[in-house]
Amino acid sequence: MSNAGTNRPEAGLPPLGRRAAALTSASLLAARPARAQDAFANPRENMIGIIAQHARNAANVLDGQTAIDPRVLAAMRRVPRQAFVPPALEASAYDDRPLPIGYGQTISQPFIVALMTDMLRTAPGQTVLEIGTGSGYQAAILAELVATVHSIEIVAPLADEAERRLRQQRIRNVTVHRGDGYYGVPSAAPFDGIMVTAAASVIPPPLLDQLRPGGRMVIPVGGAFALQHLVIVEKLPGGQIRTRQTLPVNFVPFVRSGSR
Amino acid sequence: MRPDLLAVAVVSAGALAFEVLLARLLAIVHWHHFVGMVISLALLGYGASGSVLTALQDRLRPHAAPAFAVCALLFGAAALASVAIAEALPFNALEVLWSPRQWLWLALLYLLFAVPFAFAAACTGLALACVDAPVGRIYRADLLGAGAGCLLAVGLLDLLRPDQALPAIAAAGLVAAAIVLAGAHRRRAAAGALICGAAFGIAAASGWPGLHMSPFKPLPQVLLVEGTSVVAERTSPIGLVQVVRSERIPFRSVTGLSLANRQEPAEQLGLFIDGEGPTPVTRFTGDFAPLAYLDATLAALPYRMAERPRRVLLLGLGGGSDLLLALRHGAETIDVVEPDDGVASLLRGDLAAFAGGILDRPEVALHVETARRFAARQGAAYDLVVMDASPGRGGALAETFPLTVEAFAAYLGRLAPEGVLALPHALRLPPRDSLKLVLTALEALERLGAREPARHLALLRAWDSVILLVRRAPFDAAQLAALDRLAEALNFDLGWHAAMPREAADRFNLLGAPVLFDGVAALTGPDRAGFVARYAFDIRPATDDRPYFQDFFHWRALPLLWTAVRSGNAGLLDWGWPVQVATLAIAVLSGLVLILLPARVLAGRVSGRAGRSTAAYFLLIGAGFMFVEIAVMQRLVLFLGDPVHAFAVTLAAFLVFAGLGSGWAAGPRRQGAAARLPWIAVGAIATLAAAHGIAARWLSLPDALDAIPRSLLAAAAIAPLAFAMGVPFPAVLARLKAGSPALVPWAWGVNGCASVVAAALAALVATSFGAQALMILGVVAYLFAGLAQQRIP
Repeated sequence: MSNAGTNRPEAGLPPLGRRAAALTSASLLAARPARAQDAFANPRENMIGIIAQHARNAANVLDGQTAIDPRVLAAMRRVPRQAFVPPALEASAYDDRPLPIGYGQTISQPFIVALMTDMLRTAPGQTVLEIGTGSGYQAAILAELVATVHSIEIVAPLADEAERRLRQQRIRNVTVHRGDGYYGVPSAAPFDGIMVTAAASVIPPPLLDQLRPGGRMVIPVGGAFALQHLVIVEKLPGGQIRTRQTLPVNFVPFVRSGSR
Repeated sequence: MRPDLLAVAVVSAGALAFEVLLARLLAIVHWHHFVGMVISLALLGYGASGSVLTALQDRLRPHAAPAFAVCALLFGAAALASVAIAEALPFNALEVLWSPRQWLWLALLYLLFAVPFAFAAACTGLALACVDAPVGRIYRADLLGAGAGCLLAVGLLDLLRPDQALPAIAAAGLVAAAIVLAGAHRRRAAAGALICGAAFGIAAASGWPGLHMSPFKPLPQVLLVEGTSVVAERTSPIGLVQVVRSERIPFRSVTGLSLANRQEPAEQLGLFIDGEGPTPVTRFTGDFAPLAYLDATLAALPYRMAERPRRVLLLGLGGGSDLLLALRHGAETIDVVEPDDGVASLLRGDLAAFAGGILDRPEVALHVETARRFAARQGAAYDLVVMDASPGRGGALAETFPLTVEAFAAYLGRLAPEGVLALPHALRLPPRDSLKLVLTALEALERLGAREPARHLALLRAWDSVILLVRRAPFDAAQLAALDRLAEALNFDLGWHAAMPREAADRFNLLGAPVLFDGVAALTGPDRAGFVARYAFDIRPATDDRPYFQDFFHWRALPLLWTAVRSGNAGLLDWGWPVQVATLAIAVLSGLVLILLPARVLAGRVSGRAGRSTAAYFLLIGAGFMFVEIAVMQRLVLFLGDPVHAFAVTLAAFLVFAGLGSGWAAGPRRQGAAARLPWIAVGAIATLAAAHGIAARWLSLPDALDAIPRSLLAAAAIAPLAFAMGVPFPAVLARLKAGSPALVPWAWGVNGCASVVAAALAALVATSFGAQALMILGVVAYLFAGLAQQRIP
């Protein structure tokens, strides 16, 4: 079953109305009790503001919309990002930048987390797969949006650490698997969406098989510090595979005239 | 040779060897972007030594020998310590766009590396100011030592990893100290220095300071996975090749693989060069069935188009995947050209059983040389030439002679009439590499007289990569139909060919708009120049005079790029130019401080006019030397072959012959002509530089010479020019030493600062305007220097 549209109640509104609708539902969702600790309430709110600002520059990327799905923003309001970074970086947890989390791994810039999550087009009740648990932050965001998250991490100490953090946050709908992402989790398939947060030089056929028709896979190209572009793999209702390559921002590659 | 001059030569050899080694070390530990910056700025240590000596020279003069020994000792100790401390600094090159703190670490890194250079330079500066010998001889010892150090470093790096070679290079400082102390009859102190040297040897044996790659590099990340280990290693001055086996979670790296493919890739080892990779080395048992998936890659298209290519030329070995493809498709003759034999020796040695001895099959011939040299030779025509055009490790400002218009013309020249040149490369958005490759091919075809070059091109893409096919003859309808069918079957998109409609360009892997089609249409249409000028990336083709294929940066696009970067699209920004400009700015500012501070010390001792003229002269000859040297080096790379050895040969030749010129200037017969000497040298430099400009074409012609006679020929070509370039420094410094000795260390420092600023500036001039322009600028600097020296009393 296609999930397109189920998470976009405002999809039919004109641009201005759509944005207003987005704001209204975002504030309604924000009114729900946040699990995040209050000391970080202001930085978290600033983060949401900055994400919205970046999203306005990314309109074409977001299928012509100028805002991130309010459900995604609400999830990002609820998950305490500072719990997913090393203690020394807690103060920078909400900065508009990717952060190193040890083992040469990174937690993506908040806007990129929001954008990639938005691109996955999640809906309540879904099951999604994440390849590359890393800090566990992306899994925690997904856990707010869908029923079940399976996440596979190749580096054992990272998986242990992420599992501990998720448990600490009382997030119970994420299962962290250790091992090879290539084969996915056949026992939990099909997935409504697959989020690949690690570098991928092939798109594994087993993952395409485990993606439900109508589902999407999102893959970043380039590292968190130097993101090149995003790849969205769509499995059409008939089972055919299409990919879309897009920059995370609108970028028109022309200057007015002249040379260097 | 006098012991004190021998010591000058030894320290100088150590300093230059340290510079070469540091470049390798930083390239392995970090990314290439900052290697040039850190080293060129660290060389400001030369300027700093001049400043300090200017202030301290009166106090040091009576104790010149022990002072020299202390500086030499400290050079050795600082060389080791700086590397060890640098490894402990949490600098992350990838994070500089995001965190101001990283700039502090970077600054600390280059201050740290400036320390050993400052001590080494202080040795030569002390000798110039205090040793009772003609300036020309001292400078000759310095340059000859540096030339020897350059060759020594490259030789050492052929045998040892940079971290293993470091203690040997640091020991040069201790040996120099021992020589000076023994010469000054301080035997015990000399013995002490040698004991310290032995301690360095012990440090080396125990693996200190070690080699710790940035944890953000791909290799350390792969090694975190359980069951992975480095199973083979080869080191050379070109790169550190490491092969990783992963027992539990297999490598599965295949570029340009169709999503229609269902087969799992065959077992692979991961090949990492300077920690970057993995490039797959695929298990091959002689059975091609497990490799069937290779047919579903973009790289297989030329083999599947129409007639099977019988004679194949692979320009680059990679991990052997292209070779497997050629073998799988039954090519009868496969020539593999690879300038670095590191990977080949692994495939034939430690990995022979795994890789199935692919290089030793009867149809395969390996040629260890550069693509350009091989292509320029006469020989049989090929049905297919493959050149991987993915970015190399050198960064935006690295020379890429295999990807110039002249190179493409040479490759096309080696094709049979129906042959194809295939250029696989990574997909980047907005398109950069693809469009520059198309433009390079168009210009090469035009040079070869193609009437409708657009009809010679076809561009196809997978989800992650692109391939450009260039034919000597126009594609005919049957061939294009075959490409259309293959693309349809493998879900590849047609990027561009002359017979396709625009609507066919964006079907399976959507880019939102057919940007490749539109780009190529513009480049093959009437407004090519306008499109190139308006495009936000520099897609002008590289040429042999301006061989910078990877330089895509446009200043005008910086505001656009910066906005995109802050929103999370940091991959859009090419670092080469901004980093180089930052380097130049820091070098100019630091240079000014280092030159002006000691000027205050000198204020009461020498006339303002003498000071200004001295500064101008030594600035101009420092810059002139760098500009001419870099311009000549760039041209000779093409002639000599692989860039690292070309660098070693040309730099060593420059230093040695300049040293001989310096010694010649100090000869007793020249004393009568001392006043005219600078003008004679400048005149000779201008004439010989012009001759080099004219000879450049001749030097790039192919010839049947082996590496050693070719190196000797290059050295002979450099000899007269370098000899003349060795004269201006000692000719005027000797005048200063006689008339205003207080200015000597300052002149040395000014010259050091000028070299740093000029090296940074040279990279910008060469990428923008080419080597010819750089050479002219160098000659102009020398002419102005000639004028400046007339005002030095």
